[in-house]
Amino acid sequence: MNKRYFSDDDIAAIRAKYDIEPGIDAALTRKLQRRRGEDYKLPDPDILASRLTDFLSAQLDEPFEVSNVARVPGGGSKEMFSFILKRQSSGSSASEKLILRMDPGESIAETNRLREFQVMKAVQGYVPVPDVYWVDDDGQYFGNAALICGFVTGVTKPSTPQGEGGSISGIGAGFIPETRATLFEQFLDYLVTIHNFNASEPDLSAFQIPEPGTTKAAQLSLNHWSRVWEEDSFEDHPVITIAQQWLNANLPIADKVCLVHNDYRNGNFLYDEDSLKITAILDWETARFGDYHEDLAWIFFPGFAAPDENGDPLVCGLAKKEAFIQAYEERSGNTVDEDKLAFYTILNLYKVAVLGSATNARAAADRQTHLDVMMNISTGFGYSAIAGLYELLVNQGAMQ
Amino acid sequence: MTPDINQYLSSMKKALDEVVLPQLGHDAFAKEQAAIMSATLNLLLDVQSHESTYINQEYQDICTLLGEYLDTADSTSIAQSVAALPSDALLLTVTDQKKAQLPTLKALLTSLITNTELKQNPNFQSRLDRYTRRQIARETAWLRKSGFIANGDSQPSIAETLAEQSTNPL
Repeated sequence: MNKRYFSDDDIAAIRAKYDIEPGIDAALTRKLQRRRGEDYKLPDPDILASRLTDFLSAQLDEPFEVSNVARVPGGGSKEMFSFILKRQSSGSSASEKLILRMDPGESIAETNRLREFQVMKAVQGYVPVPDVYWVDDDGQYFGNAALICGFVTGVTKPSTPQGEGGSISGIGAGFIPETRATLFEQFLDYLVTIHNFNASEPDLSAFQIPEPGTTKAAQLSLNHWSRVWEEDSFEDHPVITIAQQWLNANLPIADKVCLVHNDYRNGNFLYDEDSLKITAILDWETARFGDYHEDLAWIFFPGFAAPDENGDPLVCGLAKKEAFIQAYEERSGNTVDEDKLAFYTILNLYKVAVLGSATNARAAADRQTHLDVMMNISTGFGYSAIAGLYELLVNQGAMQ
Repeated sequence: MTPDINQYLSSMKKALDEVVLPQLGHDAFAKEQAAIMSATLNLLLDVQSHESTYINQEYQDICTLLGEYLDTADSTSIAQSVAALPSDALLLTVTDQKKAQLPTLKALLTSLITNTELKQNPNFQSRLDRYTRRQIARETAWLRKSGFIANGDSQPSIAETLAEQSTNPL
């Protein structure tokens, strides 16, 4: 079939085939419907400013002005623009710099802005995150889904790094010994806060919370990425097929279901280089409720590690793995299970393989992003993940 | 044929790096995009002349594997897949036709991988493993200049990889 043009029947069939969270199903279904349309075009700056004004008019009661709308470079997923919002009320005026985060036609990870909005709102006050203000979930104002959040100062990687990593999205950024311990303490504390977050009060209606004591948490994640593979891949790959078989046969029970950030690593937190205070945990778009081992396996991914002075790998450039696990268990009360860690290591690499080799290539082939050139070349990390996935499957006895 | 494709690509990269990029300092997004275009041209210089050889090797590998096991696998799904193939699917000689046929052949391989009988067949598993290693070697070589392959510059080039696979068939 031509995957650029899923018919309504095709979409209904793929939705029925995979049991996934409704909020993720909504995002993936929107992607397929949008894909049938024209090539994606970068928004005209004047039109974007006009849409921004229309959207804010519907949100604000007081007079306001929008100025300095400017694209923010970097990142590989959503379109980002900064702007100045000046509000006038009761004779006084206040200006603040805000960020518009908007879906392109397609992106490396098709996610739901309402989920991102809800989870950032929920953890505010517990974990440092940018303030989130408004969401255009269905793209009524912007054409595509968008949210507006505050601008936070800080850096994602040190100006004097330890090692050579960090050039792409802060991945593999290392930290010098003088800064490492202070950053590690905060990095770990916020992770523990996320994993022990009480989800009973805030509005998290766009999320499905799987039953603890079942394999549902792992199954939902596997189904999600398997559906993405079916929607986006150009051809089958033996490693993906064998990974799907192995993962389905080895789904672990989640003894505890908790909030999982799902992209918690170096490069995804901002900090102040003078005070060494973490100012924001970023990139909540793939957050979900699941097994904390999913986050831990991601954090322990060798690609995020950076060497210390002796060349030994440090988890996210911050601590040795054994020390990380010991401190995590002490502070969180959660036990780290090596078998579950092994499962989620393979599941995480499977995700990267899917979005890196299939989604990237599909988005560029269908001319659906503002970063088509990057989507082509960044298939490199997808195929690198496939090679890594193959080795893990061999170690598990899934291949000879 | 002068200039050849590599010369065109090399000249475009030079102009992009030495003329265009330095003028884009004020526009971070344009500068970022131009830098990725330059990296892409660098990757193309490494691989473009080997695309047809790659397709032919890939086609030869999968036909070899399928040819060994299609007859021995007793499965309705595989039989249906085979029936859906054009009669000459394993005998194509033109590269474009082979390229177009590869997704169908790979779907057929998926049928073999998921076949319960072949899962217990150590010979098939061993052949599948060798096939997969060769596929990964090609993919890694093809993308070694992408910036995402560990130690990319020291990985075998696609030219070296394809030459080795041609000398040592599946």
